[in-house]
Amino acid sequence: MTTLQDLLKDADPLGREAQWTDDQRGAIREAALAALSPAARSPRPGMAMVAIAALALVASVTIGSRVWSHATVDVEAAAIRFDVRLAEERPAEGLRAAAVTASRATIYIPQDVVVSNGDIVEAHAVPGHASTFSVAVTFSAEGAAKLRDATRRHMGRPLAIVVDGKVVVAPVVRATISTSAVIDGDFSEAEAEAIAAGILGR
Amino acid sequence: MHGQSAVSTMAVDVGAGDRTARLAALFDAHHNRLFRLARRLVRTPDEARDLVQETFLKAARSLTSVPHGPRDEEAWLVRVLVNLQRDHWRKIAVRRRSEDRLRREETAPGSDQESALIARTAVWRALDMLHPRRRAIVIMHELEGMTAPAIAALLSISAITVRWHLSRGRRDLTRVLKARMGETK
Repeated sequence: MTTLQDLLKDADPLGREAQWTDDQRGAIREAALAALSPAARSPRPGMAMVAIAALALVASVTIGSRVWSHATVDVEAAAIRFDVRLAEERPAEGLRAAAVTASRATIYIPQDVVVSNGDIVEAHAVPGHASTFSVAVTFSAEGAAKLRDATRRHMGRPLAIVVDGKVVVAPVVRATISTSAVIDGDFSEAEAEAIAAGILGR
Repeated sequence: MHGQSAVSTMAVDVGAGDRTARLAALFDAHHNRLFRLARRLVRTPDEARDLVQETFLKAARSLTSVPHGPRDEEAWLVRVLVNLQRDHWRKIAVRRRSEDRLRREETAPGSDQESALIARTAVWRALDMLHPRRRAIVIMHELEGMTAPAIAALLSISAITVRWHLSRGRRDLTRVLKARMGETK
């Protein structure tokens, strides 16, 4: 008895046709690569900002006591420790478990940091989604090089974004990170400015 | 304190060279698999190549949305390809149905060879009436030998949904084929 599968196999065009030629394949490859060019010209000149993680997460970020204006920053009280570490999803020697504030997941982070406050040359609040604000940070050349080298070897694994010792978010590395990053959250403008100022130790 | 804040994304700048290397690697790793699926979702090799190209153009525009790892990359690309075909299918479904009706009325079987070709064509054209997602599921199962759980993982749907599509797809194809094969005999 002829089954539906038999009929489909007999009619399958892949069984009778040549697939594509090298020229056809090459043309499609080139077309796709050419389509990258517009992305390199982002609305923010010199900075191709692309989201590496769209994590629909809710975090309880305790920064209320640290909200202040730029004009009245108390250096000692205001500084927010910021660092980025290469995390793992599974426990391993030398790593400690840490709760991710945003997702309530547990990741495992090392003692070593890739970049920290000293590697940041600029941080400021930027408009985010809707009426929220985000924190944009720009790394020094040295910091960018460290981050680029580290993330290149860490594809598909999480980064720990640590603010004052708490892992606030742990995006999975999907592309090499280098000179800048935006921590995008439902921050108020004052909260985002506070974090930015705190990261710079102002 | 201000309580809840949603940390939703982290945006970073990525060098153009990195993007090019990533997209090239994606293409090299997955284009053959995508072409085979595309060819079985459309009528001609040209349409299949167009569909593959559109899929990689979408990947180029959304490169940072493409997850890492061969399985996740493949799943992302397959879902994009099937969704693109779904959009095409919606646009051309009405036109093709009327074309098919005309073609069937004009077709007169000749030699055995021609009859066999017409029969094969009738089988393959019967797939056109399936929604692209259902068609993809039928093809993955019947021609690629994938299990329902494997298809479910690839398309990010439940295995129950896959089995439902398989059941409905087989039923619809059998019904159409019985009618069409009857016409070509």
